[in-house]
Amino acid sequence: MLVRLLLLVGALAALVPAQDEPNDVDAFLSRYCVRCHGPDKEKGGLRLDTLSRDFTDIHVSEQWRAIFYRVRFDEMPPQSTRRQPRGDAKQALLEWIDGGLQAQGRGIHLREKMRLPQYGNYVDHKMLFSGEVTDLPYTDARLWRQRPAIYSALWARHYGQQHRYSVKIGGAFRRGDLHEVKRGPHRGKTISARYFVDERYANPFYEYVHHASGITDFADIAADQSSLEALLTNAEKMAEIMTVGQSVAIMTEVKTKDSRHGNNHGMFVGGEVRNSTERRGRIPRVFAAVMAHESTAPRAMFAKALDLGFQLFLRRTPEPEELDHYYDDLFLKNAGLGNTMALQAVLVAIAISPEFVYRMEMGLGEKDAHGRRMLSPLELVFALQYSFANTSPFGVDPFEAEDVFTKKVEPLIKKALTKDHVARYPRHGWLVKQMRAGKLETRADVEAATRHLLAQKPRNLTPNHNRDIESVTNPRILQFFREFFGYHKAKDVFKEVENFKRVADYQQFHNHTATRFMYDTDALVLHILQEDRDVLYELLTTNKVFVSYWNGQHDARQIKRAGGRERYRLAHDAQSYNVDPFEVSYKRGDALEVPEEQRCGVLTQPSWLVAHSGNFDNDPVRRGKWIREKLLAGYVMDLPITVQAVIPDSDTMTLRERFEVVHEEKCWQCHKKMNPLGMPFEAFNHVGRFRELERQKPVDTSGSIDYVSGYGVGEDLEGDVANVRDMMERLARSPLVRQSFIRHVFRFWMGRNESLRDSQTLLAMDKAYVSSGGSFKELLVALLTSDSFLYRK
Amino acid sequence: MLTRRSILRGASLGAGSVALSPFLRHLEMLDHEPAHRQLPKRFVFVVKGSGLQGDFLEPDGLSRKSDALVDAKLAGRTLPESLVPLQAFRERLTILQGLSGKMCTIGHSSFYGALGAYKATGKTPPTGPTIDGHLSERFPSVFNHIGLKMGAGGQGTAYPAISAIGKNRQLPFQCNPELAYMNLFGSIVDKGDIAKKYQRSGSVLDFMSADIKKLRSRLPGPEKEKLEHYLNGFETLKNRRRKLVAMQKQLKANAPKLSDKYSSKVATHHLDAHFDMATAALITGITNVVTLHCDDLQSSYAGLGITPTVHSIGHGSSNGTETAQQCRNRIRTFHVQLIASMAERLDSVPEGDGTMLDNTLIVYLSDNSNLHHSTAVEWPMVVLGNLGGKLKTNGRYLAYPRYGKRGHRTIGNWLTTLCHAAGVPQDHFGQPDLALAKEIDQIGPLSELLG
Repeated sequence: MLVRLLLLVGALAALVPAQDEPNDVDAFLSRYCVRCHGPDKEKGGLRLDTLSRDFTDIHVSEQWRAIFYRVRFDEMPPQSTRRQPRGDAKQALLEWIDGGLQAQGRGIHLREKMRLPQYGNYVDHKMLFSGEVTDLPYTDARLWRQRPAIYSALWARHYGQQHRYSVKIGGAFRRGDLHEVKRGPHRGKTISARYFVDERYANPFYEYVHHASGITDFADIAADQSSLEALLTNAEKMAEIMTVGQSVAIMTEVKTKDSRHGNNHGMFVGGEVRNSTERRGRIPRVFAAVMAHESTAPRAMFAKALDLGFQLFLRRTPEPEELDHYYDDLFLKNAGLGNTMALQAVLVAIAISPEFVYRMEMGLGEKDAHGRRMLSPLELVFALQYSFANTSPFGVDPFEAEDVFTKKVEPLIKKALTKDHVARYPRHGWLVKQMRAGKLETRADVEAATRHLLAQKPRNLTPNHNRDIESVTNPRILQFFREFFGYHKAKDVFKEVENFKRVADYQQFHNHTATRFMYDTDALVLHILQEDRDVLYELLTTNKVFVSYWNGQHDARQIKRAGGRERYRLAHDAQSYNVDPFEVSYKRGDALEVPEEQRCGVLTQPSWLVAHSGNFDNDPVRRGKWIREKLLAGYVMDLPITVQAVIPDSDTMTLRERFEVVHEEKCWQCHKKMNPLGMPFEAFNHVGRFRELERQKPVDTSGSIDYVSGYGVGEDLEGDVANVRDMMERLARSPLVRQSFIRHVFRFWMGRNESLRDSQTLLAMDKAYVSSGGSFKELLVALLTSDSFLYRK
Repeated sequence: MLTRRSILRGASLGAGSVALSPFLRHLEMLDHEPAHRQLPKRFVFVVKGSGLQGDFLEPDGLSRKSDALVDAKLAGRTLPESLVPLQAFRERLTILQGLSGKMCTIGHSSFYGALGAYKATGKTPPTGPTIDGHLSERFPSVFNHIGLKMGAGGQGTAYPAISAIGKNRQLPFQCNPELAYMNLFGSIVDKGDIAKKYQRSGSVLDFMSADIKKLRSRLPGPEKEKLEHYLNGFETLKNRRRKLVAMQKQLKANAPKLSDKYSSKVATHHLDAHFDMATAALITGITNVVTLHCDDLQSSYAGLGITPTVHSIGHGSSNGTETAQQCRNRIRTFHVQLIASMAERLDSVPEGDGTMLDNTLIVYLSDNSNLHHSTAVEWPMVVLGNLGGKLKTNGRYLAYPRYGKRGHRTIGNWLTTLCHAAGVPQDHFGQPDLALAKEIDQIGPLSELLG
């Protein structure tokens, strides 16, 4: 499915292989390969000076394929040789081979893949940060599909809800005039009611999720048929709500001698039940006028309706030609069905239009001397707003409307169906005001706006399931850290929770624990961002932890419910951090400092450890892969399809011992890049609790950092590590790790992979971060004021 | 060989999903089964709320409460009272008991879990496919999947959170019979609101696809491609309408007559209409997969004289003359009657050497396993049909050993069995029950049922 979704954009370009430039290939081979694979030596029985280039010969193309992977994954030329190719030369060779293979239907479509987030690291790190690329950065003009969160902010509250109203008559006396039936057969009885509004709709856009990249919103994702079907269903519902009102299912229950009410209004028990449906809502006057018009509504009248329709969904006014188009080609065509249906058709069309589905970043500003166009103020409003939040920058100007529900009913019901539970439209945001004041035109304006948004008062520093990420200031920033670290996926890893109740060191882990872990780490990240100093170093080394779902108190009822003080102690959330809840004083919102040898940054948070674990064990491979890709700008070959990864089961061996099988040569050529980085985390059990023993043996937490040469920075990283802190301290101080982090920041906010052309942007980000003493805010300012962000071509 | 653990691990990490288009998958499947190329496979899932009580599905002299497998013939036995309407199909029926589903959410509903065998809630998006969504992509037709639900009053599209094509992609259910009729058979209606709405949605598709084509011509290369995908969506929907027009004859011959029950205010009439439409949709071939969601906790069977809501009955409310259990029995019988008339109708249409029913599978179950407040230790089901002989479901009572006992199996094994019977085998469908993992082999289909 995803493959189908992702664009074949690069494919066409890649089909024009560098085949017609054999000189470069010859130069590459003779410079880097032929000394060992030529007339003098014929290592491995391979000669590259005479190897045929006829890819139609299966043996030949097989050999080139092997060469492709050797070069791609830095096996060749050997890292030990001094002479190493430049990144662009290497890329050119790889594209040439891929082109040849593709012509035979066997290529990997390298260029196309390079657009996907999980291949971002394929761009040569050394060149990116060497400063030798001085091209002026820009981004191609593009459409960027709305992300699910943006759609939901725009849609859910107004058009994506199911309304249900439960009324009960009879029962205990309730104070207040509204609670007495005024007329009809039940006059004088008590009436009470409860209104239910549930979000129920399908989001047309789902997230792109690749386990390695973690990035969910990438500009290369397209909307397709399944998006359209869901959009249409939603749009038809919306058109109905905006023209004839929202349907409400009303259940009236009259108490009988048999019924039990309780306090739970949604769940009546007994009584005589009547179901009915009513419509409620406020229909805009301009729509009502069109619908009430006796004959086909005239153009001028329609224009006002279209104006509002555009404002509601596209947040702009239609151009004169759009008015003609919508009136002549859609409204009039449906005029035979009546004004109401014709108007509904127009509203549906707006809500499935490409402009509603895609953010358009064309670069509508002035063209500069290099043919690049800056984003226009309107484009900037969207680009900046969606860098920080999921809500639309634009609100809706107030409009007049009339009530749909006009029946004579009990005052309580009347109030519920008219005044209460009305979804209000938001007002225009601060960026819109800036744009309208002409203060969103230049790079300096963008910088001022970015600084203003970053300086907003922090809200909700300890998120939980009731007050989640959307109520955090600038939720996209926290979202970045969730996606970069991937710790929010802890809840997706299933554990045998039922069995944990009986197992020491696992009792603290119950059904909701993994979700709580995520919020613990959210709080930690927000805490570090508040300080905004040496952010990455702190994230990777801090010994602070948060226990989000604990207020620091010990409630007697909870202790009783847990089955006594001892059980309460063992099952307490704080135990996940090896903290005895009775032996610390803790206040919600404050960090708790735990021993440095036990916790060392986000990678030792139970959330991250669980998210990168298996159902029954730790997963040193995924952990090592994560460090290789996210912190070391490296890559590991995808699992070859011929490999059946099986680690033997054992009740006596430690996981490290069980992993001995991958030291076999054919496994180790890939695993050597992962396992030594993942093994230090054996200091934790697979639900993230620190341990010193595994299967009654002292845990071996050693590992090593290797294969970091060739990046221009990072050589000093190499060597064995004794434990997690040893490893993390070394990583956290490394320029390579910092730059790798910066590359991921770029990808997340740009919605695309960096290319060599973005080199100057990355360097500026790096400089801003270093010179500000590790401020994440300064890093973001540097990115959002860069040419990569501002210019399109 | 893959080990059980590695598969469990793979299953929970969502690995191993093959990225082939449904169409290719379908072709591939046909290639593997040349003999059955002509005969389609159809799947009907009838899902009720509040649990399907195992105690009321035991034929005379048979009990599921055993530590060993119970495998008995239905022939010669009296069916339990609420299954009596299916008496004529006794030889094509299997009563399936003893499967557990503790990997699912328990309580009032397991939501996507019932058809997906994974933990889910009603408020969060699905984390994987359910069997109906999964099969709908492998047996595509004009409508890959049709979801119909008895709602309250004039509701339109509902999202009862029981069916999904995949992660984050829930399937909609139409509550309003008139709107459902418009979507399915609107092309043969020539007057009234249904015809008008059908015409309207057609004109919107035309208008917008023309707009997109215009926009596309003004875009740079790569972005053109991006719009192409969206445009293809319009073309597919327009094609669907064209296909429906081309099928006028079949549709007119088989579509149900628009009657009072479509616009009735009585919800049970709607359910009746939904079954009629589902049957017609299968007969005309406009779909191969249907899910009928009979009710939820707020539904009322006032049309049957049962005034309390499903939730109230679950909590023991009577309707004044009958006890809660009697009400539950009547609701179950009502569903079984609807299933029986669907089966009769399908059995009256010849296909291959037999009838359409021979190539259809109807599964009746609850989204909340066996009780109003369930713990999912058992998940009773009634299975009608054998998918052209792929399932050994001819007149059997099959009860697996109790939860945790040797030989116990889960609904995940059952859903896997369906994949195998459908000709799209996979190692396992859904999540394993990790609490069982070490003792019970949870991978693979139920071998007792595979033909």
